[in-house]
Amino acid sequence: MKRAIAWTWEVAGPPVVFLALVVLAWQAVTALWEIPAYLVPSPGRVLAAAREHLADLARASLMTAGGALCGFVLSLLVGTAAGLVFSQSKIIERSIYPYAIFLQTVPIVAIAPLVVMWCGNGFGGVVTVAFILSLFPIIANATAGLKRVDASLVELFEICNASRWQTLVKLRLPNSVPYLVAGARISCGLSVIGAIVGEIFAGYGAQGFGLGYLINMNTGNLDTAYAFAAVIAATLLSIAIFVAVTSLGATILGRWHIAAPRNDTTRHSSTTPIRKTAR
Amino acid sequence: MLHTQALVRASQLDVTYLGEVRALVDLAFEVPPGQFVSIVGPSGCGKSTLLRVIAGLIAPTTGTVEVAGQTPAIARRSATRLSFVFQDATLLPWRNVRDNVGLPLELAHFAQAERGVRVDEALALVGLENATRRFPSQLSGGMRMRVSLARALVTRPELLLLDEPFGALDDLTRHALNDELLRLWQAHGWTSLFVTHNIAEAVYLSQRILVLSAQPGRIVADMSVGLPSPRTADVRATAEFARITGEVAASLRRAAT
Repeated sequence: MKRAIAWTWEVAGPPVVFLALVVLAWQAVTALWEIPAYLVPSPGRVLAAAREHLADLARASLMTAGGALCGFVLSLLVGTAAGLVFSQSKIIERSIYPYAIFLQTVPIVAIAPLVVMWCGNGFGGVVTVAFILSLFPIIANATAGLKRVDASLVELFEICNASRWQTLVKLRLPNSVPYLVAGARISCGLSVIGAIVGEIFAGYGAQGFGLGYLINMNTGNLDTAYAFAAVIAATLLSIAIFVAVTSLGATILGRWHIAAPRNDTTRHSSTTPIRKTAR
Repeated sequence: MLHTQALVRASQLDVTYLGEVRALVDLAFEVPPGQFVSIVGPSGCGKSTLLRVIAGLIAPTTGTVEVAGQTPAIARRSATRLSFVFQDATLLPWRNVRDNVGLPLELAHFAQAERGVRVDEALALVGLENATRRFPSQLSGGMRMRVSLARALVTRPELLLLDEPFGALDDLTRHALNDELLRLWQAHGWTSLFVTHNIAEAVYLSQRILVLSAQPGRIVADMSVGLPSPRTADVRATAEFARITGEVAASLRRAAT
């Protein structure tokens, strides 16, 4: 318990202290130089705006989360399907994969208005933008995971006279799971960005409004404190989705008995004791 | 006729990679059923390539290889049970020991009950009855290799191909697994082709040793090992063992130049 507290302080302490210092400096600067609130609102004003509009911010966050998650899930499905096709046919992969990179390089802000024009205002348009932005990491990782299989394992399956289907289901798909988890971690954050960009151009009309709409509208109205509050809500939403996807991914990887690529230290501490008892 | 008796037969076998790299040149040999043959040679001489040709993973460029009178790929798809043990344990990290060992039977659509019996049997052979629920990441290198061996034995193979299976292990573990392999072979009498660059290991295990030259690989010596059978670990200390080891080493030296 004591160690847990020490650990928390060691890890969480420095960034929290830094944040507190930044907020203090921000408050001091806005007060000392008397910066107009429509340019840079003080932390106090932002907090006040957040309190005043708490219900709307929460509703908008839920709306944005819905759009982002729908785009993200769509990316997972379509991206994995694309990876499956690419892993089974070299000629299709060679022909199409280079264009999948377009998804990565296309300036989303530039095509968002087009998407809205095609997919219409409202939920569909927002989900489409979130989907386009979050698709590539899934395609790339699914394809890599399905193809980068240990060569000896492929030979083993061949020697066991495994069919193409058996090799796919019992070797390539399970092999791709850690890759998909890594891709999902990147993709889920992008889906929130996509949803917000989508909302700035599309909005949901009568269905409601999202954070992107709040940011856009309040910036236009020079209600900067409210816009700031919406930006902070968007950041918190991103973090929440990222943490959820990461911990879900860690659970899956734990079942897979493969450590997450980044957590090398936890992997050592979890395997060494087991080895010791084995001897 | 001797031809029909041989389980593995190679004649005028050539393997060339990418149209230019000659891996194996003009190999010809026969392996009768039940023989334990080691293949030794300098690294890069095509030993592993030879095993992969016999397993039907690589097609000969010219010449023929037959397993039980058929091409290897046809042989393993029909009646001949062929198993391969790789240099690394080559286990599926997401499957526990039991499910790794059962994989070949699962791929061959064995019924669940039959699979269970055979897996238990194979696990008992290599002394892994108590580790069945563990995952590869929780096992030592030697235990992983035992799992790999059990997976090869679960199909009750007639032809066992081993590609430097103990190369990555420490000496103690290697000796223990050599003893285990020898004991299992003496009990079951399958045909073994064992690739290694460890001469003592080859002499200890084999009835016969094929020495390959440096790339491109040719057979430069085909020696029979006249040690008594069944063998025990003591045989390593005999003068005859030393003599044969020296002879293989000498022909390897000649092969390397």
